[in-house]
Amino acid sequence: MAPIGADLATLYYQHEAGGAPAVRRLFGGTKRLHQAPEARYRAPVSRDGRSVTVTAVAADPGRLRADLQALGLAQGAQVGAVVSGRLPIAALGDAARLSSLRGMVPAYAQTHVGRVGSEADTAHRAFEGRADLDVDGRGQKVCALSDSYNRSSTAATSARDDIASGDLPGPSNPAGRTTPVDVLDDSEPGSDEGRAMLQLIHDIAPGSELGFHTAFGGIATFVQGIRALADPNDGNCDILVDDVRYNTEPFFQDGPLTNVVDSVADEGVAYFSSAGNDGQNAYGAEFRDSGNQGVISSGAVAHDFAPSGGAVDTLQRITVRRGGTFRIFTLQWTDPSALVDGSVGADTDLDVALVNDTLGIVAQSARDSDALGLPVEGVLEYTNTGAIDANEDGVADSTYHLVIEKAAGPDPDGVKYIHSGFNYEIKEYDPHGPTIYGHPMAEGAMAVAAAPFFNTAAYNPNVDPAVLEPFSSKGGIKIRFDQTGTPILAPEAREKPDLTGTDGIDNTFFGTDSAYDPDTHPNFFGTSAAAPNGAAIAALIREANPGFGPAEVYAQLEASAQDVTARQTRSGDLVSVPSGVDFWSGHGFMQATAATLPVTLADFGAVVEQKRAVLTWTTAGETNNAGFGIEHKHGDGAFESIGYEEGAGTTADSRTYRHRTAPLAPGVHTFRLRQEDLDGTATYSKEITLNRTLSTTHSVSAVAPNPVADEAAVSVVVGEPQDVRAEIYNVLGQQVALLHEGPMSANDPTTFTLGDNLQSGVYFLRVSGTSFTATRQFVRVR
Amino acid sequence: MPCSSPCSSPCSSPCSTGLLVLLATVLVPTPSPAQSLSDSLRAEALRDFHGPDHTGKDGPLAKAGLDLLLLYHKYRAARQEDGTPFSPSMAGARVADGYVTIDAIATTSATQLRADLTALGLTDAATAGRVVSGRLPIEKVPALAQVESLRGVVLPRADTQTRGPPQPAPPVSAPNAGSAASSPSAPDANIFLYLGGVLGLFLLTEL
Repeated sequence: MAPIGADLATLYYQHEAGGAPAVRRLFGGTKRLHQAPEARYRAPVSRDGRSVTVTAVAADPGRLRADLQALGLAQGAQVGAVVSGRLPIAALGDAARLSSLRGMVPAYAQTHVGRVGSEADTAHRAFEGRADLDVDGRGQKVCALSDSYNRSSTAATSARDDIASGDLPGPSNPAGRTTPVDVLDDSEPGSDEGRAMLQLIHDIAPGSELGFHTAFGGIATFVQGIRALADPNDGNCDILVDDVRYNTEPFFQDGPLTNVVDSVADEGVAYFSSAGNDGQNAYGAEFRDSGNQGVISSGAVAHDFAPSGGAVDTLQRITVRRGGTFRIFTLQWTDPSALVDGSVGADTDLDVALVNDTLGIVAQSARDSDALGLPVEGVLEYTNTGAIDANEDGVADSTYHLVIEKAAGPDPDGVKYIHSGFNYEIKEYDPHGPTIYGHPMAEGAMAVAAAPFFNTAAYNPNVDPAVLEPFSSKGGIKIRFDQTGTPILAPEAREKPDLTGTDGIDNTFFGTDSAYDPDTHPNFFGTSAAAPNGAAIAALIREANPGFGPAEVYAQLEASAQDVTARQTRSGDLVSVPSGVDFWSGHGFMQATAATLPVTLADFGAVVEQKRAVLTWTTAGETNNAGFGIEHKHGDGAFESIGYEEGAGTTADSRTYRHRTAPLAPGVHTFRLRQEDLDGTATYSKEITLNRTLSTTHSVSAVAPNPVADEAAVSVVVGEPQDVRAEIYNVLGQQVALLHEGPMSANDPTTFTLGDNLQSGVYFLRVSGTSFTATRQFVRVR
Repeated sequence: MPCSSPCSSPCSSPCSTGLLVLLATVLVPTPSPAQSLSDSLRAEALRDFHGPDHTGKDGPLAKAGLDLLLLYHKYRAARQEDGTPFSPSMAGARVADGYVTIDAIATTSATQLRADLTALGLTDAATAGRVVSGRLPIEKVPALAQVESLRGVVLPRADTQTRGPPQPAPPVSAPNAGSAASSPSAPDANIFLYLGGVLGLFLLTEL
């Protein structure tokens, strides 16, 4: 056993003596997995006690990996003479005897990929899910849309550097993940945020292929990018994620981006989008005609900020301290948008201006919106350089006023704007409000809120499961127009955001280092960083559950999410958010443990053997699996339980099950599995349909019961459609009853009832078609 | 004292004053030559957008929008100054090599609009419904305003959802009880000790 060392030899003998339970007694328990400091350093033994992650050094580099794979090595990777992967503990003895092996040690640190690891991997416990179910996102392609991938001239690393360090896949990836990132379009200059997003995905789902398309270059370019990535003949991505928002995306109507997201989701592509970083930084109110002129145009009428009943006030006071910036990224009103194909456009034109104390305009946005058809103004942005002293008091101004004015058209029902910046403050009429808008509102998308890693349970014992970022956007904006631009009588409220992910994540170049982790790597903050984690966990779920569409993936993420009940405010205070699904955290903080990655049906099929159906299914892994109920229905009938197969409880091993049914009548049969957990919850598999056809021209069952005391039945099936005659004769050869005369369709059993009007005696049932004649004898007793 | 209600008493006619201030800001020359040039370019853009009467949005090139017109005039001025690289001060405008990224909205047919814009030199065109995105030569902005198949055009403004390092939001230092968070604190030194220990163990094991 010398080549495998004392640690692995001890492990091997422990397993030999008591099997996996004995190993679990040594290494089991989950407490360590919740402890923050060491959470990214994990013991190499799997939680089920069956396998160990090893690093092996080859005596013969050309053979070792294959030799270990023959012993059951999973997730094997090789760099030079070093092979790593997960080896069954039971195979350690055989491994020690391999001539191709020079030495082997347990690998204590395998929880991150590349030079820089992900706090999100720990916070969402994805490393547990990967290890326990032997998944890493293989077979999935996850693609990002952001500004750019490899265009920045100021980023600390390039894509080539990231591949060389193992933080991205590519030809020189040291872990052997050589499939390069599929870059469809990187034509727009940017900060390479998309590359940082892909690093986060690679940390959680290192086996997934990756792709990229810029989302900049205009709304149509973004739409085209989504289509291209989802196109099976182009990007062929299974999961998409973006972090981009256009200020013209409608607040109150599904726009072209929302529609394309729904479209690709319908085609089977799961979609994740950052919820936004606007918190509740929104002003919203009904539009109130003040009767007073505007400041941009004397022909315009100003909005009255004061609630009804108060004195008219057309100025909203805003403080922008010296060096501060106030920005309205988008101001919109309740009109439909001409961006939407088939919709009428806006018929009102609102403008917005920021003025100083003497009403001098310092910033404005004043499109011809009704002509354009877009109910949008913005961006309005003002940075206080200290150069303005409008009231000539000798002190640079810091007080400004916002004016919203209507230049044309009818009064809209409502007006709303979303603000951002720094060193500014809305001093009055600041109702706060929802800020999630645009394509994250798509029903086919998961909008992801953010919680910083240092406020997740894995890193902070004071938190369970997570506290939201103060800037994470709040949902609640209602959809008010359909695709034609017609107002919806009951405006549609959507549950957004959907989920919460981790942000503040280490990567090689994007962001700046956080004071709240011990390393010096840059930390990537924002919902931009949270959404990729959802996409990566979705890759694990889809690998574990082949055939899962977006709806099943979303349902799994939502069902397993842990409720988030607190958030921080802009001032750093801790406040509660409603329990359950809410407009801040959605369904809660995502989990990627084996318990949340359900029992995996890697395959489920059925064939006809003789007259029976043989069902087979394979699980890639099981967690708390009590077993499988087998359910069956014939034709249009109801499902009935016809059997049960015990499950394996919890195992990372793949298992195959087989169930042979009783003989089936000809016709259409449908089967499904009811997978039951130990806690009593159950989920159904997809349905499998079989058509048991006749191998001969016909089938006529025996008369049953026989003798016939009251009534009996006989079933007749024909293999080809034809006219059939069913008659009853007595022993004298006289016809005493005609049961059927006419066409019968193929493989559609017909049951006849007989005996009701027959005297006691012996009878013969004769069934004749164009291609057959069959006779069944029966006795009638009374 | 600031007037908090410009169009109601006791302030006297502040709205018309506001307009005058705006026009004065735009039209009145200032001592700075650079400022003067900027103002004159803005005045030209406003004239294209509003027309010679400086009111309404019915100028000869209004369909191009004020932002694009301002960009055009700045670009034209920059080209007249030899060797002056054009770097627009307009936040969010994506300009490169004399082209600007636009989102154009079709009157009816995006196909026709795309063809018309391509004839003007639009590159990297993409279509989604009524929207045609792409890069237009800045010098073609006046011609853009004359395209019949164009309903209107905007400079697309896109943002990613990234944030800088947290400033007002340190780690929560008390259990989730809804109490106020304390001031920022440095990471627990024990974290470093522990990680150092684990890393040491890892290195020893690997070696």
